[in-house]
This record gives sequence, C-alpha cells and structure tokens, in this order.
Amino acid sequence: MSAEEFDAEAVLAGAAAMLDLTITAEQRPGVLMHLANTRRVAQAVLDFPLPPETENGPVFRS
Amino acid sequence: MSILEGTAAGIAAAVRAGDVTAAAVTEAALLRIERTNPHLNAFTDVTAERARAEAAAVDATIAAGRDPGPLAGVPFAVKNLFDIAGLPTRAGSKINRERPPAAADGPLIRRLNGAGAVLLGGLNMGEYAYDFTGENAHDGPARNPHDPTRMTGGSSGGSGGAVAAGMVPLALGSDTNGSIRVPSSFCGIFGLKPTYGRLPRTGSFPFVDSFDHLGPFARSVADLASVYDAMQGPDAGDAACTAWGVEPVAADLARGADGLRIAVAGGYFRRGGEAQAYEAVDRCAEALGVSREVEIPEAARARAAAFVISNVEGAALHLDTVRTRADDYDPEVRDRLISGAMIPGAWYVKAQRFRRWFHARMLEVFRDVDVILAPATPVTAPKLGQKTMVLGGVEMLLRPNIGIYTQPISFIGLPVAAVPLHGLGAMPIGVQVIAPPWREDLALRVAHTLEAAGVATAPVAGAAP
Repeated sequence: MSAEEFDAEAVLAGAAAMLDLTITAEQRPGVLMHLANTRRVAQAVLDFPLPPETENGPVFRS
Repeated sequence: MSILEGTAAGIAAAVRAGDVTAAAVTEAALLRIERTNPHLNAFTDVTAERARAEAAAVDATIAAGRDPGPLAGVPFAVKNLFDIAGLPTRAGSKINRERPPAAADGPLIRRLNGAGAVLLGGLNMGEYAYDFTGENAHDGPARNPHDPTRMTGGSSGGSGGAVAAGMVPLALGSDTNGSIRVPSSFCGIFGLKPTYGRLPRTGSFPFVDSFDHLGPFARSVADLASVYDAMQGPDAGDAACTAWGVEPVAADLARGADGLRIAVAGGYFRRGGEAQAYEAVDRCAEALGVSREVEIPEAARARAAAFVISNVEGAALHLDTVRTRADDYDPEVRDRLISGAMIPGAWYVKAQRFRRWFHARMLEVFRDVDVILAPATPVTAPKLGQKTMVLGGVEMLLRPNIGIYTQPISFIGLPVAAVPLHGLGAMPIGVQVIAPPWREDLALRVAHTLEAAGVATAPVAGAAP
C-alpha cells in the first residue's frame, strides 16, 4: 500500500479499537490529518534498505 | 547600561569584587522582569522571595571571605519543565499544574545554585515541548523581544525571550528536535545543545527519551561555556547520562578555530529555506576562511526517522493521560499524540535501526572534518499565529518545517552551538556549529571565534548595538 492509497479512516477505526480509545468528533479531523502525514513521512524510512545486523543497540552499563 | 544587559561573567566579576551586591543585581532583575514580562510573556513563575534569599546567601558568603562561586549573583531562569522546589512542574501544560509541587530542584538548578547563580523563576514553553513556535494555548505565547508580534520559537520560547530581552543573562531549556536551537535562532542569542547523555535530565519532565537534551542559553559564548561547565557531571537519576567526569571547556575557548577542519553542510542543508538562512552560514564560513562543503548523507531520511520516533515516544508517554484528559491538552498537541499511539511498532523500530546506520555514517564524515556549519532554521521568526509559510513558491505547514535543519542533528545527539547573526534582515537568524559526539569544546571554540570576529552577536533587544 502506498502512502497515496493510505486509508486513514480505516487505520483510525482499527487502532482506536486496539487501543480502547474513543476518538471524539473534535479530535477526528486532526488525528486523521496527522496519521496521513506520518504515513507519508515514514515512507522514506520504510523504503531504506538496512541489513539485518543493523540494530539500534541500546547499551546498559554497570 | 544596566548591568543586566552585560554578560553573566561581568555580573559575577562585579559581585565577586564587591562592586555590586548579589541582592542589588537580583532586585534589578526582578524590576526588569516586572516591567518587561507583561509584554513578552517569558516568565510563568517569578520566584522573587527565593531569589532574594539566594542572593543574600551569596552576599553573606562574600562577607565571610569565602568563595561564592564562578556565577556569583548571576540571575538565571529555567524552562518550566525543570523541577523547581515548591512549584508544580507544568511543562507548558494545563494538566501538570495540578501535580503536587516539586519536592526538590532538578540537579542542574542545584549545580547552578552551587556555583552562586540565583534562580529567578520558571519560563514559558510549548505544551509538553511538542512545539517549535513558543506559542502556548494555556499561558499565551512567548513573544519575541526583537518584535513582539513574532514567535520566539519553541519549545523553549520563554528561555529565548528572557535572555534576548535582558531579563536574565542565562536560561536553561530543553532540546528534543531543536527546542534550544530554534529559539536561539529566532531570538538572536547563543544556545548550546550538548551531546545526548552529557547533562542529566533528572528532575525535568520528559518528552522523547531517545532525543531529550537539556542545555543553556546566553548572550556570550564565554557565558555559555561557564554555565555548561557548572552543570556537567553524572547523575544516577538519568540512565542515559554519561558516567564520565566533568570535561570543562571554558578555558579552551581562547584556542579558537585554528587547526580545525571546518566545512559547510551541503545538499539538504542548502535548500528549502529563505536566502537569509544561507547568507548567515556563508558569513560564518567566510569569517572562518572556510570554502569546503560536506554532504551529510540521508539527512532528509534522518529527519523523517526523528519525526516518527518523536511521534511514537511522545504518544506512548501521554497515552494514559490522553485517554482521560484529552480535552485538557492543546488540540495542536493532543491530535498528534493520539495519532502517534496508532503508528505501527515496526515503523518505530525501523526508524531506530536507521538511527544507528546514520550515526555510523556521520562518524565517517567526522573522520575528515572537525566542525560542520549548517542553518539553524529555514526562516526568521514568523508572526504569532502564522500557520503556513511559502518557501520556493511552495506553501507548506509552518510548525513541522521549522525544524528541518535541527532534527537530523539531534537525531543522533551531536553537540551543537547555535550562534546568532543580526543585521542580515529585520530579524536575527542562527547557524548551527556542529561537532562530533562529546566534543562540545570544538563547537564552542568555533562559536567563540565567530563572536570575536563580530560575526555572531547577541545584543539585548532594544539596546544600543
């Protein structure tokens, strides 16, 4: 699915159910706009090939 | 000229020499805040009685013949996400001001008090630091001292305004994606975002654990270095804070930029902004005798990954509160936090893995160069309330695009000194002086050289140049 085909309404409905979050009419337009924007921005990250061994590597010191 | 329009170093020297008392400096600062703050809305809390007590203690120390510390009697203030004993840590929010008052100061405040500095209060900020404008739905916008119809930049807006207006010579802020460097640029002052993990974030309200930094603002590089030195050192309360000891930089400033390999960031950092953003970089490069350009690889992707990580971590932090108190958030913040909770975990992990890749590439870049110059913001301070801007003939949303040049840098925690240039246009604009990890000294040495050359200056707004 490309960013252009992204169905923000469907994502909002499913994710709100998963999160047990009620989205009010006032919140809905803004949340949909931000979902679509993040989907578009994230594409650049998702498209970038990384080898499996490239890991974030959190470090925990004594 | 009021002593408050000078530097912190000047105030401390005068107090230490007995030329002025810390009490007198504090009263002058309180009066200036009383007169100026109603127009600029930088302070949200003024801790007058506490300040008077701290100043009296400094004066008593001097009277007793003991050392009052390197910042003796210097007024400072902090973004209101820092714990100040006795105040709720509001972090720019309506919700947090219902919290019980902080039981103790954060360690950076304690360290500055220990160096003799006097805390004047808490400063306005964008709600929960998810902001580049300095506007606040609950407390009203911080206003730019150089033009109060314009933004200070955010989210450390009150910090930028208070220092630029001469209310205090030093302020503390936080920078997750640019929240020190953006107000430094818009308000025309110096700012330091140290390496991620250099200064403890203990006793401050978080936003994005992966990127949150604390750091200082000042009107001179020497002041910036002094306050930074006074705040260094580990703290057990922040797992990300280095256990290394203090690495003072103030004494190194005089070494200047001699021998340093300096380059201008090309490509991504040379497009997408107003001409003034690049003129400022070019002016710095010329003063430093720099003609070399380097490419920061995949900077646009770094910004995108920073955006995703910020959205998800911020949302995760606030999810429970959003569930019960959604209407008490600024809607501009709330809707981004709700949206961020819906982003797939796999996207977040990919962004974090890309961060490791980008860090490795940047270390390669730093094999051949010591310091990189880049714009701090693509534009000068926009008008308050402005929602869009036109760049290159394209209209775009203002808020998310203010940070295009700062986000790729804080993404991997590189230290940056933001240096201000005045006189290129009606409003000042900043340049990022970017150094390798843990080399704040290099960024500050170059910043100091630019200041000594008269290229980077931070005059008090409205004061004679």
